[in-house]
Amino acid sequence: MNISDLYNLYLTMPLKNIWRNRRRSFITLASVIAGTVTIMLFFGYIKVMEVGLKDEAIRKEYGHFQILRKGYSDDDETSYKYMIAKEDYMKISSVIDTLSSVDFINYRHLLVGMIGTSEASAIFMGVAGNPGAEIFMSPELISGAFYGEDAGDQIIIGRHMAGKLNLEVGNEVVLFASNEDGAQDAISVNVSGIYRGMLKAVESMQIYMPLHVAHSLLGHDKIHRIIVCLKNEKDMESAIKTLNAFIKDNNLDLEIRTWSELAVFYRQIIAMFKGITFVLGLVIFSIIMFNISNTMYMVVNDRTKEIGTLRALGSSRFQVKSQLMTEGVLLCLIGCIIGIVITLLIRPLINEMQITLPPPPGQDDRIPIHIVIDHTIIWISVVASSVTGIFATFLPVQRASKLNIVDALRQF
Amino acid sequence: MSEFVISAKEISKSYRMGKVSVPAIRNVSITISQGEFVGLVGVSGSGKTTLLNLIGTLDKVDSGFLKIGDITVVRKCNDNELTFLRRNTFGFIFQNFNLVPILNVFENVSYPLWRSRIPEKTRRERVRTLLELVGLSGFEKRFPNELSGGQQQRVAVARAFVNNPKIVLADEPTANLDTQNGNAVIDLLRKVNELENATVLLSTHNTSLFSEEDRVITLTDGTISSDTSSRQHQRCL
Repeated sequence: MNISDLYNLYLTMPLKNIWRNRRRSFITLASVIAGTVTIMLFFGYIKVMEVGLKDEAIRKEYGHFQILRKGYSDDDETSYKYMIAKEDYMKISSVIDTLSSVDFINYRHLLVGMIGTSEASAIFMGVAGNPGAEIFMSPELISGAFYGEDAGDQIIIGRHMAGKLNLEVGNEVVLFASNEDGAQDAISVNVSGIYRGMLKAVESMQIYMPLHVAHSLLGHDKIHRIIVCLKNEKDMESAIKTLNAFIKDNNLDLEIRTWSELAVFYRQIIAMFKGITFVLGLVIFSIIMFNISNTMYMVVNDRTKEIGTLRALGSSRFQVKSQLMTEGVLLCLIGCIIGIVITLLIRPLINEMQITLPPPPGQDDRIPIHIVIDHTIIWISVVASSVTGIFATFLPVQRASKLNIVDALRQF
Repeated sequence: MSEFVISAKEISKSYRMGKVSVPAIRNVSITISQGEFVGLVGVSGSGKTTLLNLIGTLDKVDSGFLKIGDITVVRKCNDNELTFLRRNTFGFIFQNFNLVPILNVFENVSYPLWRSRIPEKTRRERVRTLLELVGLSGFEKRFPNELSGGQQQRVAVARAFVNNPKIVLADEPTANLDTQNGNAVIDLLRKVNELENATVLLSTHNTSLFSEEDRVITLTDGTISSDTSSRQHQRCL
């Protein structure tokens, strides 16, 4: 059987029937198109959020992977119990330096304490790191400058903390913290910059400082974690393999955790988005399914006599089924393809319009809507439409194929 | 080649009307030989259409024995077997023409061949021959709604004969036509019957459509009241 025969057998009649009932087909197509455009735009928005959040999680928070003391828990991340001694982190750093896939590494030390001026004080959550790496990982500054490699005792504070303590760039503050022995230490530092963060709570507590400030304040040279950021994520596996081998050979009390293991918040957000997308997709495709199902029931009712004639002329039940099912699936696919084209046309317009959503609770900045459509989204739409078409036509088609020929021929 | 015979022995069929079972055909026995032109007459409700439907395997007998050629049609025959039998053995002509409205004349006539997956070249030649025979050459691209009733029934005749059926069943093919068109369709059926050597079983109210040589079976209340030539039938009346 050649292509022409296949076309004649399986497509000619469904296509002609779709064209015969143009008005009904158009209404059905409109619902498929509207559904496809809606779901694709939403998928495209979620995709951007997912990529953005992942990039944010890797670049700003976790790196591609981190090296930690065995037993270190995120629940008590400022604890002195699970810190990496200088000797150990210098050893492993010498190996990391040999890996060409590494973009940068950051030695992180987390600490809590009090920050104060002569007039006011507040609790701080300190993030200490290498200035060369922190410049990539810390949030955007709204005033001042980031501390450099040869920085003195400087810190960066959030704009809410600056407002609360009435601080400006260049002001001097004192940091207080308990050292490993429980004694209080203090250090005087200057505010070199003020940043804008994602959450108000973070802006009012979190401060950034060079590693040497934390070490000076606490009187030790340990760190909590080594953050490794790669040039390309695909090199992660081989880099981890090399480092794990080194850790094992040197019997170091260290372990490696990837960004996806560490980024609990990211995982929860993505799971939530995927859940919302799934439910929305289910609702939209259910509406499309009922619409097509209704259309196909009407088709079967209108064409009962025709179906009887075709059966009398030698069409099998399967052939009647496949003809009607093709009709339903074609409606879905045609609607889906038009929907994809429309989405691809309006996507740049939506991005150009710079539409923003209101800020979520605890945030100040509106969220810009940016949409990306990739081949995965297109394929998901096509497959979802086909499956919807098959499900939607199943019951009407079953009914048509089981029609008694004599009864069908008696219909007017 | 052995003769292709339709043989029915004491076949019965009833339909349920609510809780009541109404017999449509009762213990009918007939034998029809290959190439015969047989008239099936009787008043409305006498069982003509039911008998045609049973012979054409559009419906199943309740009891009795029906043999189409070498194939015995019993209740337990499955749908695929019956579909295969219909596709390869029968041609159907209906009172209301029953052309597929979305298909043009050529496609309507070629539909049974199309379903039998006959190669396109053979299909074209066969359809062209049949359309010429029924006088509709040049009408290939027209759609049913662009044809008169007589023309539509001629298309149906061409469709019924296109797959070289052994048996053509025509259920009141002239009922929706004027006398002139009705006679033309019957003449056409006779002509094709002679040319193709297919058995034609034709149900009608109009006994004047039959010639002296034709076999005419009269049905009364679901039973055969006479099975004779047309002249004998006229005499009986």
